[in-house]
Amino acid sequence: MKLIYLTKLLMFSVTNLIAWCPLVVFAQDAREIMEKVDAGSRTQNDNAFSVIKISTCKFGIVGGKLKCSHKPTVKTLESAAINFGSEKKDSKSIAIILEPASERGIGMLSFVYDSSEKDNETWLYLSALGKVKRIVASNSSGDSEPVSVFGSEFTTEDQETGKLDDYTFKLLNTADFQGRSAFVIEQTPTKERLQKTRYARSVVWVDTERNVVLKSKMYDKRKAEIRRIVSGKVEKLNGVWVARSITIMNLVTNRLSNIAIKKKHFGIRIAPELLSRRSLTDTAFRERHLSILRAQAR
Amino acid sequence: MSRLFLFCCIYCFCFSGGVLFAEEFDGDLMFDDLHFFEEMSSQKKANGPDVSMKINFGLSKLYHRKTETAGIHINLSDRYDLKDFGFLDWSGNIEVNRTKGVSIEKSTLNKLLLQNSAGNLSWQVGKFRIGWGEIEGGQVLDVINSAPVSGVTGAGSDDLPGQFFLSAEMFSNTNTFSGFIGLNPDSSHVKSSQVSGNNTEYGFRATQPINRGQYSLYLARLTPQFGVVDRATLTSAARPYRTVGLSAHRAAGAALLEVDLAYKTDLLRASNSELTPHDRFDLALGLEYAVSNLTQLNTSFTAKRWLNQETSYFDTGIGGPVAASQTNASYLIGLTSSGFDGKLSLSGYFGKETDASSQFMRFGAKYFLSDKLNIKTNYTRINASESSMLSPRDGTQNWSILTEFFF
Repeated sequence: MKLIYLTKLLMFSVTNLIAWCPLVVFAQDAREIMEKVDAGSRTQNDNAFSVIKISTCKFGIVGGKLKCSHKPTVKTLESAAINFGSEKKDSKSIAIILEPASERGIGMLSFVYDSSEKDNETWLYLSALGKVKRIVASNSSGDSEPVSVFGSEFTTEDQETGKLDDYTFKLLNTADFQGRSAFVIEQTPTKERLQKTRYARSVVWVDTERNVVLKSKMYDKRKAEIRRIVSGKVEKLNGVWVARSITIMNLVTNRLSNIAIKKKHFGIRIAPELLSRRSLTDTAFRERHLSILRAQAR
Repeated sequence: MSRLFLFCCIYCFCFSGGVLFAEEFDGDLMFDDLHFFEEMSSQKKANGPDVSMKINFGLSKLYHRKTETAGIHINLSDRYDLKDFGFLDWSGNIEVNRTKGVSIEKSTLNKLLLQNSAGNLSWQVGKFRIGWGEIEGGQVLDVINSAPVSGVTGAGSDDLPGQFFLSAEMFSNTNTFSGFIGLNPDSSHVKSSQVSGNNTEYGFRATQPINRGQYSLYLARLTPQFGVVDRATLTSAARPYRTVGLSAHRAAGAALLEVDLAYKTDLLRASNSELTPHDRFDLALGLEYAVSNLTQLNTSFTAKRWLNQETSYFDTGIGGPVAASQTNASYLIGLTSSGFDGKLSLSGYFGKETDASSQFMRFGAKYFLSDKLNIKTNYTRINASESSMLSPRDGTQNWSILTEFFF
């Protein structure tokens, strides 16, 4: 059973996903705004310990509201992340499944580098083979494969931070979104990046005060909107604006996934050795370190 | 048998999801956030092990003779936190297979593992699998565990049983040093096996990262996965041999380059009259390449060369002995792809001995009808000449369908 989900786990960084930031935005300010968004995302990642719930279901629209038409599948994860590097623009993270019990302990380790020149790394433990393996799909810089994240509608492409140079940004206008003033920014991949992404264009709504992405629409190469992400429950946690609910809607299959941040703690002292390959195989070691993080988070 | 197949179809139909529908999607529709912040009682762990069930049906055709097989596998697994004593994991399966009107029941303990660690040291004891080398299935370094037993009704690689080991790993900065002892290694035999002396296995590995990759060095005493048939006594022997090896991988863009290299001594070979020890070089080269967002290419080349060939040697398979050459080489090309938003995965593999003595092709498809249910089908064809150990299977075609449900 675990093997099935391992195939779905490729190249995943939960903490980065929490801090999703579709990378795009209007000339002057578009790039600057997105840099602020990116910086906010990094702040959310640094020394952060989170418990999140990913729910996935088929959806319909009832009374103008989105509703699950089937009982959602739910996975609960713990994740820990730190930033590192000279400007702390790179990040390490590990995500471990807590529930359902049948997948408990499945983990993935990710190293995400800001530079387009440096390969991201993703490692996972293949229990059937008894070894930790580097995943090829994550090797090329910035071209994270759009593989389902824990079987959800989120893909690794929806969770990247950094690599702003892979895009051009254009500020289209400002608009009101759910009662908040928002910059509406168009994000277009460079020619090189376009070959690696399913999104030929994205339009992003960024809260003008909080630098948090409120909504994003992603279009394919035929200009059809294929996915939409909407943030909710934007709250200030430890001085950082965080969207505690992120919903992605797959407009092709009418399935949605929601990431609910159940708990998020900043300023946690995370031992760097936890964010190593050892944590994928050494259950006792990993649980010892996670229990320390849990104690700090209380 | 046909009733079982019908049951499989009905079972899949009943559990399948609804047909996708198109939906206009304008405006700022919001989802009910609070709904997802509610606790979902159904996700709380129930007491007892996790259970999944597989039902399979297979059809094998060889020289116009068809053989139907069917089976049911119940898989169970669980983990216990023993506090200061570490963690105990176990998994096993109970299966009933039916071939040619004969039912065979079997239960297997695949894993029983106690794991713990202290400081820089981690250790494991029990029945589990250890993976060496970079290239899966290359058998250059990935030789520690017994040979996979698979067939038309094979339950899948996630069910492969382990062996009894005591292993330890030491983590020092970015380097990892590990070792194991196996007291009761398994080997596969086509004839009754000779009782040999001390078959204890042990091995050591040191791993160090390099730029965009890592390399590992190996030193081991291992028992072969397959016994060698003595033509004089018509018995099979699997005597431990020694190996030193190297493996490495390095990422290059969307590609991962892999290499396994081993030098093995005291490997048994069968001449006309006796078994004698010989040395051999094994090499495997692998390339994994992400062709596109959803497609991956996997290729490997494997070669084995005996260092001496003074006389005629023989390998014995299910069809009897065949002459063994000094060098064997083969390649494998595979393509895997997924679609339908990750629900469908397709794979195709083609493998061939470079001397054209045998080749195989395999196509597979797997579809996730829901998070709890999937259905899988495979087709395999084997061609082999008389000089191949696979010659009795020349022309074999296998087709199988398998459905899996997670409770």
